Amino acid sequence: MNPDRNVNDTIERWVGQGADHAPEQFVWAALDELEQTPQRDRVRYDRMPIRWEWLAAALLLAGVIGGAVLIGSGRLRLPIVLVPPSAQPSPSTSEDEASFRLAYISDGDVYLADWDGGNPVLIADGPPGDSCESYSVEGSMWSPDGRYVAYRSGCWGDSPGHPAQDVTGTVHVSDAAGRAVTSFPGEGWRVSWSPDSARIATWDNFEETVAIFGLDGVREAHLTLPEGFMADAPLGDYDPPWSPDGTALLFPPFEVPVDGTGIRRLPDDDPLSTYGAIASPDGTQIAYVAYGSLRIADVDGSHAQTLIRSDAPGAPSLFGIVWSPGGDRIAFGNVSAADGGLGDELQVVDILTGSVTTLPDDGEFVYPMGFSPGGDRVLFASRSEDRSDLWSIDTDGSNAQLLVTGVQWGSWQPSPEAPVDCNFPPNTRLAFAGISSLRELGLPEPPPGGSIASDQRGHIYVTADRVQLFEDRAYRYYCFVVGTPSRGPIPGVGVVGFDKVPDTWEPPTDSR
Amino acid sequence: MGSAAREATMDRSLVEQAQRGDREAFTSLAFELSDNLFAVAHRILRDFDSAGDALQVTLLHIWRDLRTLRDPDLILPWSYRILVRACNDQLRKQRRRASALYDVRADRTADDVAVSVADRDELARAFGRLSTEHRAALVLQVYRDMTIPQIAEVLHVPAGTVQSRLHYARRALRAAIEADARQPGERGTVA
Repeated sequence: MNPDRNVNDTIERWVGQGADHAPEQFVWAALDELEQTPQRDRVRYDRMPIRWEWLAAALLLAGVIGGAVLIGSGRLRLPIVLVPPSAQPSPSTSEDEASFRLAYISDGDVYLADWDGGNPVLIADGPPGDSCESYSVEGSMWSPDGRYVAYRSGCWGDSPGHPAQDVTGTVHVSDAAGRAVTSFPGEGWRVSWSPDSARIATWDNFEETVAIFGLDGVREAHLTLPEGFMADAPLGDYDPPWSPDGTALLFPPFEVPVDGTGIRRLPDDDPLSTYGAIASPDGTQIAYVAYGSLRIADVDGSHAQTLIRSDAPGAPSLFGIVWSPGGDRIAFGNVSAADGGLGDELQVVDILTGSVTTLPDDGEFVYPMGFSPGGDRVLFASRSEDRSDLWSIDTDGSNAQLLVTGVQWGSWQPSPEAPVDCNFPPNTRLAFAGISSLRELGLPEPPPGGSIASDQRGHIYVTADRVQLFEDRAYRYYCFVVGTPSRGPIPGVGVVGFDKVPDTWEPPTDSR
Repeated sequence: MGSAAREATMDRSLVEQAQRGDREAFTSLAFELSDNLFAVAHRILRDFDSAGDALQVTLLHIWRDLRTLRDPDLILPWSYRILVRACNDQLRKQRRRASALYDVRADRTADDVAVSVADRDELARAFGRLSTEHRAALVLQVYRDMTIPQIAEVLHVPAGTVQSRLHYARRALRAAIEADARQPGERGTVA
């Protein structure tokens, strides 16, 4: 007999072993408690009405962006319909927050959208009906500095043309505009960004070797874990996070320096020795769950304090810890203390005061995914019987808003720490459609507060502090806002379109 | 081992009556669902009492939220999803108690005899390290004969994630058996 088949048969026989009938006492015990368990009315989604005017505007703009992107990529050279800026939806958050992006994966495709899900742009297209090479990720896709998004693709066997044991995982990195930066092999689920956003750690061979890649796609380190190193680790869905100082990877209770020097066992009272410990954005504090309690401590283990106690009524079961950008609040999921373990609640705890706010949600399961850059809103997934949607809500529980339907994971772009240079290198010529300078367009100045750049594929990206419309006799350019007035421009989805195509126009092969 | 024939056909009208608050209908529905749910919970948790606790929590959750179920025909996958979450909570409690996870009072079949004692021990140890999601994916595929898209629906994860979980779960169990096979003289067979 084929030994592989024999092993598989053994596994399947063992997994299949178990009782086939429920003892009645368990059922009656549940039924006895029905009196104390009122049925919930179906109110989900009803109290959070869709803003139809936004939806219409978003659809219109999505069409414009889609067309412009196709034109920019050279795949479509058709005039686009320009939308006056007044048709754009007005964001409900402050202007400062309105320009950060939402990254999410839907049906194996990767999208970048406005913070509220509007204007989605497809940046990586997974083939329909074939999970091979489709994209997936769990957790945040964004680098800590907000400049890059990363996601995974992979064949996990059982796909046409791929034997069951043939695993081909790949990590892809794009910039904040969705332009491909690099890709490299790697297995896993989450994307483990280094704190400085310069490297990614990924499983090279699951539970055995870890590779560290730079954004140039070069493997900088290859770490081999000692045999049995992961014996006590929870298997699966564990991608080794970085230590807050970026010098080591964490395999509780060990840390493995990325320079290959000695593995160190962390003291038992070190918060980093706990699986799932999360560093605050500034790297000075650690949040972790110990014996059911949500605790925080300084990164050296000092000043530990309990924020949510395990002996609180209902014995909370906490998950999905995310820090606010300012490090003053933590959002988390709580297997409903109030409901006796019958559902999830989305909660935010104020670290200074210890006050806990339960955010209203009608989904059965919720999963917090992050704060907005200003810390005023929380992004979360709300999951019900047949779908998962992305929502956002103010931290005081007001202003809930449905962002994207049918999506399990999404992440908001962190606020960039510093403006990114979008300017050309000296002496660069813009070659897009034969344009060599803004002056050639009759525009002597760059857009207010912004700059103009092109990439090697000949796309032009314009950043500005507001929507700009440029026109000359032959071309019309419509540029979207990327960046914030207070923090300066960042590379983003500055889309260029035109409605008068010269007969002789050809997409350039090189912008330089 | 798995059999789609085990899948009970749920009476849609029963679900609809229970949605309207009919406790008698819900009692019938609970008994219809309970074998399915308990069998899956037992295979995920490998512990009889924990599976019973997960079943109780799941039934209460179903009762409480039944009105929010839009399509009564989805009662079984919807219930599985609640069950997996309940199993996750039970597993956390098990780990906090550091209790044994391998109390499987199986309704033994002839197939079981072919799994050696040593394999069982190694498999149990490896299985004990799997997350709830990995266990659930494996059990739903092996025991319930569910397809990857169906499992993805239940677990609310992309199909690719289900595939990766199945891959790693099987790989871990395979490694456990192969490691055991490298230790001659320590294997036995259930009589």
